[in-house]
Amino acid sequence: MDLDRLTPVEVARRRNKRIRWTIILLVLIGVVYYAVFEKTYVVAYDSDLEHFKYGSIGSETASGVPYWIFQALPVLFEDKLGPGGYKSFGFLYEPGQDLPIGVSRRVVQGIERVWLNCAVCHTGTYRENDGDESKLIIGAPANNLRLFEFIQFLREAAIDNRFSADNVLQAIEQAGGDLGWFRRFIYRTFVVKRVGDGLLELRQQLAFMERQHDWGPGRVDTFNPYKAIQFNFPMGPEYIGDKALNGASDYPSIWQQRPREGMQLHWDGNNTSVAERNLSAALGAGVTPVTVDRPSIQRIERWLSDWPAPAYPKRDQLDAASIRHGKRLYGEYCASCHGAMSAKGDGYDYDTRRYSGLGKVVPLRLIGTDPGRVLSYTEGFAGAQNMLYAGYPWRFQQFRKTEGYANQPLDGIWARSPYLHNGSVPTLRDLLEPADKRPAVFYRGSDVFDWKRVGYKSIGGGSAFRFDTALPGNSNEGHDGPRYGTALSERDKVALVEYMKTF
Amino acid sequence: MHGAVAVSEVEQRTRQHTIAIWVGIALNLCFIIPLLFVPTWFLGLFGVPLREPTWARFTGLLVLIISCFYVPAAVDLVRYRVIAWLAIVPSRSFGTLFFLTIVFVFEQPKGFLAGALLDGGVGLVTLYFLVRLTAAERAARAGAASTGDRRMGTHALKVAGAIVGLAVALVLGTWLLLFRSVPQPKLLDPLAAFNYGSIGNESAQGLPYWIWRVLPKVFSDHLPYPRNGWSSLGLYWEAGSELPVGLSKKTLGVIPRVSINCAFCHQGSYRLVGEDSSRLIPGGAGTRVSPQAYLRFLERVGKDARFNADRILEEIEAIYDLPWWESILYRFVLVPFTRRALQEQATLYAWTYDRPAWGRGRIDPFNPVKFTLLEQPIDDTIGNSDIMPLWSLAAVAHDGGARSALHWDGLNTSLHEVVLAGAIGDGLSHKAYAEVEERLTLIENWIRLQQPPASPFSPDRPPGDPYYVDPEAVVDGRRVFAKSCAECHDPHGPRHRTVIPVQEMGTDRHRLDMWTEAAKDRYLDYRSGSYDWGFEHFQNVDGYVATALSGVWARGPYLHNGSVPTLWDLLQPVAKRPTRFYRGLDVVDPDKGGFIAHGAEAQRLGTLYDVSEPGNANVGHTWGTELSVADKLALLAYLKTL
Repeated sequence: MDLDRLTPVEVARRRNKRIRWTIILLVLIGVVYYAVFEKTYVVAYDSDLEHFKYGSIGSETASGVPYWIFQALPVLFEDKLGPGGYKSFGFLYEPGQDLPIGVSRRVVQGIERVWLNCAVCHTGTYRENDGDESKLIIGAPANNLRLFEFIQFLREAAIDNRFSADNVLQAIEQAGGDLGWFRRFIYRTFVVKRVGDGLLELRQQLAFMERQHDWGPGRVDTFNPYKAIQFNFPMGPEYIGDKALNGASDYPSIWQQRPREGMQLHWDGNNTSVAERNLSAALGAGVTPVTVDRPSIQRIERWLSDWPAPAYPKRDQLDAASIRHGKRLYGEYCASCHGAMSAKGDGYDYDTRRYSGLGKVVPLRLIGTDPGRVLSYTEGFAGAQNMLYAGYPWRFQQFRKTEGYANQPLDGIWARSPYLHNGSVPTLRDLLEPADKRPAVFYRGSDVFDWKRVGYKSIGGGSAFRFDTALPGNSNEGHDGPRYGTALSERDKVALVEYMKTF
Repeated sequence: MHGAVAVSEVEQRTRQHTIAIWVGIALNLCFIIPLLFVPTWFLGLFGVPLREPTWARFTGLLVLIISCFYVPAAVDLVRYRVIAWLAIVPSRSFGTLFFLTIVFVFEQPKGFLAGALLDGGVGLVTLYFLVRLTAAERAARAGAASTGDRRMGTHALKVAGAIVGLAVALVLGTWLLLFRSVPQPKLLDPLAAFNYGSIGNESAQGLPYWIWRVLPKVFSDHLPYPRNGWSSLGLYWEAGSELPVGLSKKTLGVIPRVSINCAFCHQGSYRLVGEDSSRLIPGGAGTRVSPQAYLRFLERVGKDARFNADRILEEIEAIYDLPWWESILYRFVLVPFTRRALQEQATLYAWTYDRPAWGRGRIDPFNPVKFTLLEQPIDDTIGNSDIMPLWSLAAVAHDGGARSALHWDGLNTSLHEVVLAGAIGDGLSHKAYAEVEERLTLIENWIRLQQPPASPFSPDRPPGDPYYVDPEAVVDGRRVFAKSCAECHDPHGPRHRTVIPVQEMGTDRHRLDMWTEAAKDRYLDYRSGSYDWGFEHFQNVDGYVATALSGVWARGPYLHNGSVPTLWDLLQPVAKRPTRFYRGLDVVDPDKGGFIAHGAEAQRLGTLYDVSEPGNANVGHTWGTELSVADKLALLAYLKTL
């Protein structure tokens, strides 16, 4: 007889215990899985400004590279980047920061990844004189960012034999990374390969860049890569000609967004919603509709609503008489399309009812500027954009094809050189010349300021970028003729420029 | 005591079971005999159409044979117990499940439910008696019945109930997840209803939304030039709209589906100069859409190895956080079934491969209907014709009148029937009809009232403007028109909206030969299952309809087969009309009227039209070709302004 036989109560209790433990284990596995593989982790910044510069908008998950690989690339490819590393592409480093402005981090599936945010393209610099320190202008065009070269560097790295697990791990060590044996194992088996595959995909998607002219510093072709990456539109010569293929334009300034709501945004005015324009730009920085961090973008959006345009640094040296004269001329020639300083003296006046042309598109045949950018944005593309963020309430609904370029407010215009959408005219003073008197060739890439003509100085030599207005997409024509002030006297032009310094 | 009760219960249950078996066999015979001798009449009672009685007879015979196998259990249940169980599973239960599935999942006529009722009813009753009998036997065998033994019977009943419940849940769940129709938001604007409203064809050909969303990206190489997404099919995409014009989104179960509607073909667009953006012409002549390119795209996608769950899911999940249950549905049901459906569609349209391509702005509208819905044998006819604009139809809206011939060849005389037949051709099912009837009426009324856009050609423009027309020329042209054209083309002309015999027209007759007497008869008698659509106004005629010329500037190319690119060319003798040109560019030709059909841009965006291909002849309609050049120019000026 089995004297140790369990009583029915004991059997039931044991069974209950087993069930309880199984449930607890399953929940634990679930929590760990969620915490490691589903949830991502970001650095939270107290200040909006720091959040703008270094906060994540969600681009790392799908487009980013692991932090240590990002740091290892300049070591591995020092022959291409030089000792300055990413600085050679115009990335800006602040003292004490290990990542440049505009590169943010996020921990995804246990690995810290880095990629771009808004600030990379929208932080400018200037120097008072050659030899001075560069000063940051937050929200200004990233006048020295060479995004084209950065992308080409990545596309070349994709097929470079040196990009192997061994070399990358060695470069990580040289860059100061101590991964430990476990992460080294993971990197060796998965991570490096996955990054390599990603770079290869980028290489194929953007193969058409081989046909493009270098965008140069401070410029980006927004919509051609967008077509290829988001929709796989074919980009071969039989599908897109040289004109539409070279749609590179200056980065815009992004301050004072609140009054811009409802204006035709982007250079060609293809969208009137600030929020939608921002979500679209975020796609360009590498987010996907799934990985986008909307609260983060909305925080930047709120902050940019009223972020002020930078005041002209040499306000004490302005010529009051010339300004008075310039103000009168500006009212006569420019204000109806661009708005003007408020008569009450409380900043820029963006009133689109007072300035009937402000924020509206002027047809290409009237404005006469380079057609590349407006041609790069097509009807079919606008249609396809309606499918972006599908399934979410913020699906794009405001994009439309236009036939020209939009009139923008000129707040902080001194810090937005070179001028015209394609940055083909180096200074404000040059823009007041007829097209044939504007510099046909000049150099971009210097941030030394020309306080007289207003704009960056054209300084050749070294890594300066030779901007040739004869190339497709680079024309400096248009915005020309008596209506645009190019027939005014020298004194008038000087006065106009003097007045615009106060914006 | 208990044992005795159990024994008597065993006898009682056996008796009951035997009666149930015999009743079941008798009921079977009620089906078997009529099925054997008068199958068509009998199935007609249940609203089940029958074209081939032999199989129905054979089915009757099979049921008779099966019924014979039930007999042993009724004679000696103890000896043939296993047969009693086999009668329930698989026989009766599988039959029930079969009939339920075909009715509720595959939308077969409801009459088949009679089969489910018979098999289900008899199956459940015999199952009940058999289970109770088994329990009683156990009780009897135990001698002293305990409640525990009794529970054995209830336990078996529970298992059986669970199986039945599971089967019902499976059918119901499938229906809820994939087939239940969720009404579209009401589209009150008739134009929105026309452009984006569902016409009830989702169950026949709705693509699951997320598959549709990623197709043009994954398979951009299967799209026609310029391969820029859905727009490359020539569809107009209004700013901000989730779908291009001509596609609707409607949810079945939990899955939104995208399918075509009337506006897929009936949409026009135009540009006055090449640099402009296109403008939509609602209900227009479909001059740049390419229905065949869409068909070909889907066919190639269906055969492409990239169309697999891994790849499609990867693309979807890159742009949308698909809930896991939808992810499962897509992976295991929707992607494989869509692939199979696309392959089947390719087979159905295989005949198009050995006939001239439709090209942009054209379609063979009736052969697909003829070969599938109307079950006509695949012949070698070619029905390629231009897509007609849907406007200025108020005058012809009185059903069945002598002057209301519709379609190019007047094969129907009722606008209502034309709308309905169009929707059926696009996949409207009779089940969905009740839901979309109101919308189709709205669309029909919209078509009656819709007018072409105002002509850009005007004497009010400044002279020198490409779209300026000389007012005097217009006056002269009206005079020429009254003399030479009005008899047929003026809405008050005696022959307007009548069929002009092809001998008189002299135009290409392929389209006429496509429509046959047999096809007409089948359409007049067209039924979906038991549902009679009640068509009355199909006819077979031998000529082409003379229509009014409103908006004729936006209707090029001309003639029913679109064989003459511009109005000016149509006024030339046949020998001088262009023999090769390109269709599909929506830039208006300001000189000749119609759309620009030559040049690099037309060649890039358009499809080549060669008049030497069968169905493409540009002969006939020589009226006006004899006019003096001055009269022709005046007439052209007038026509441009209509």
